[in-house]
Amino acid sequence: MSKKILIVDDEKNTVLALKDIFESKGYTVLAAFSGKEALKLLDHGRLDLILLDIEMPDMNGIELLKVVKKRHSSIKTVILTGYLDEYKKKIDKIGCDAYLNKPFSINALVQVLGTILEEKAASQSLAELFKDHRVRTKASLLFIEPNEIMYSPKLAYFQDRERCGGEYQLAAAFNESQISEKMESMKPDIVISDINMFRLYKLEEKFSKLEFKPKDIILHGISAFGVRDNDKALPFVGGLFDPITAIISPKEMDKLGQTVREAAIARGLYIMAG
Amino acid sequence: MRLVRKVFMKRRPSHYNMLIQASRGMALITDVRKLVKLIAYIVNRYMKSRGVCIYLYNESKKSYELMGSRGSNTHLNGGVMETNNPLITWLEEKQATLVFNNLKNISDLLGLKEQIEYFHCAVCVPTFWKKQLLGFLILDKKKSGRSYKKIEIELLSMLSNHVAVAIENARNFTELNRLREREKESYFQIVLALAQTVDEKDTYTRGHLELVFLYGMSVAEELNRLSCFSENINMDDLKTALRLHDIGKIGIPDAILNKNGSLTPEEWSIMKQHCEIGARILEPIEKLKNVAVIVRYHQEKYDGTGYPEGLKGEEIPLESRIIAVVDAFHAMTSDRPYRKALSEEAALSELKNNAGTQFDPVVVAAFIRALEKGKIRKI
Repeated sequence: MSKKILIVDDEKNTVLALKDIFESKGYTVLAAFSGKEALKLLDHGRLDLILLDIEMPDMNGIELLKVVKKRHSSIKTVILTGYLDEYKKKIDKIGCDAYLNKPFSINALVQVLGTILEEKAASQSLAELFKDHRVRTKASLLFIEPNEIMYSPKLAYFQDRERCGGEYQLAAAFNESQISEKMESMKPDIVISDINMFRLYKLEEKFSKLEFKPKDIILHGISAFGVRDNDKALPFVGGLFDPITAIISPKEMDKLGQTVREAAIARGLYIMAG
Repeated sequence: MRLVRKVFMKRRPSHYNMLIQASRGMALITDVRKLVKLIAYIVNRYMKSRGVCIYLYNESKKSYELMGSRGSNTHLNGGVMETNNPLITWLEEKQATLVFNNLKNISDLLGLKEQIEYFHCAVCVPTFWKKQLLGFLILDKKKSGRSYKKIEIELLSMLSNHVAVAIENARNFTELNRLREREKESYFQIVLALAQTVDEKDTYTRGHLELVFLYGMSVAEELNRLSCFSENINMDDLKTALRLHDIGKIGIPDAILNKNGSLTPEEWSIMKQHCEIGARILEPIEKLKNVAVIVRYHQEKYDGTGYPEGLKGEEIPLESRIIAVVDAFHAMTSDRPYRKALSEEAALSELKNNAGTQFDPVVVAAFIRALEKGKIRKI
């Protein structure tokens, strides 16, 4: 019998993208777009795992986690949030099987769930490599973005070797034909896609049919926009206020940079410097 | 500091305390005026003088201004000293502390004596920063009538050096804050510019911003004139929100914005995110907090069938309800690739038919009145 997982996130497209991904891996997937919906589904038959977001308008994911732990202690829990740093302490107090930061790499997520559900031994921890500044990642990245404006802050970030801690070859696609063309001509190691674009062009399905497959796909969504209250620093580049990066906070860029770095290292796309 | 302790600790603990108290203040206070006031207070207290006042150079006025004082001799000359004042000339030339009792041949100096007497100046301690006279401290006679001791005057010079550093720090800090403010201002300007860019990117709504702005303002004026609502329309927020309501479209794929045909349900679900994306972009700007809320809810419907949250009636901010009406009217009276623009009359009857369901009926009524008065014209 296939394992049954419940995905909870108020960002609809994230849920739907994840549903596609896990169904293609043979899981049975239930989706909830709010904490309350999730509660209803919880009492509705056997579940093996719940994958949940923290910040949701009707019910905080922390509350939901508490309920799951209390009433359904056999269900495994995995947290996927853009605000891991802020909630880590609270989550640790309640306990969960794993947590991951948004934006996330599909590989990392699938692997984490596989490890937890199949109770396979966890693959060798790469945490040491992630932190080691001598480890310089080297990969080709294809960005799939709604338009050039959204791409330009990423271009600026990943071109800057100091900031992103790696050497990347970059390209971008803004519509369906460009995606096909770039996948063919560039054969990127890692694809970094806006979730809307990923859903709109059914990229999960599309990539599975390609002869060449990227080594990992990283998805980022609506949570990347704007600057959070506790992130007072507004974007400056070389001492000048940068108009375009204003749309995405430097902190969010760092998170994306870290996810890309971890994905590259996990796939052996790095060199040891010095 | 160790030397100071050796010299003063045993004989004059109070002087040592003065330095400690002053330097503590300097480390804590980041506002120049407050810092100066604190120093005036401390010096006056420990030196037991009749009065003390501190002048600082004012860059824009090109003169020295009284920044803080204690006791007598305050606010003489309206608290301003010109740069050609003989007292200042003397300080700049000698770069030393002026002690009235030590001055010889004072008659050589044109007008200096008069100034010294006028300002009740027993001692005048200058503060220099990179050879520039930043300011000075004028000390009146001691209350006891005794003259200041050499050691006290040395202590004051030492203090004045600390003060120079502290003032520079405080000024830099103020400057930094000013820059931060400007930074926020430019974020706002940039967001406005981006809104314009988005307007132009969306082929079908190009030029939409300007018209929607005009419509919105006319409706708001009409509503205000008749005071239809107990709540007031925040005109500033409304103005900004009218300009920024579609900024979230920056996160929507061009292929959806410029699609030649009606949208699929899938595409609609993406399109609908523009309200939330817009709110997220605006939230970090303190003065746009309310605007962000208005933007978030400008696609809600009066009967609760809108998005993103399905708010109902008065739960929806008034400004959002206004934008909903003018936005819809403009959309209906513009051409789309898959349909011709509706006539003004047809669009108006649509508004009327949907008043109470999609739209706030009072806002629609105000819109109609504004239209009848000729304030709103299809251009």
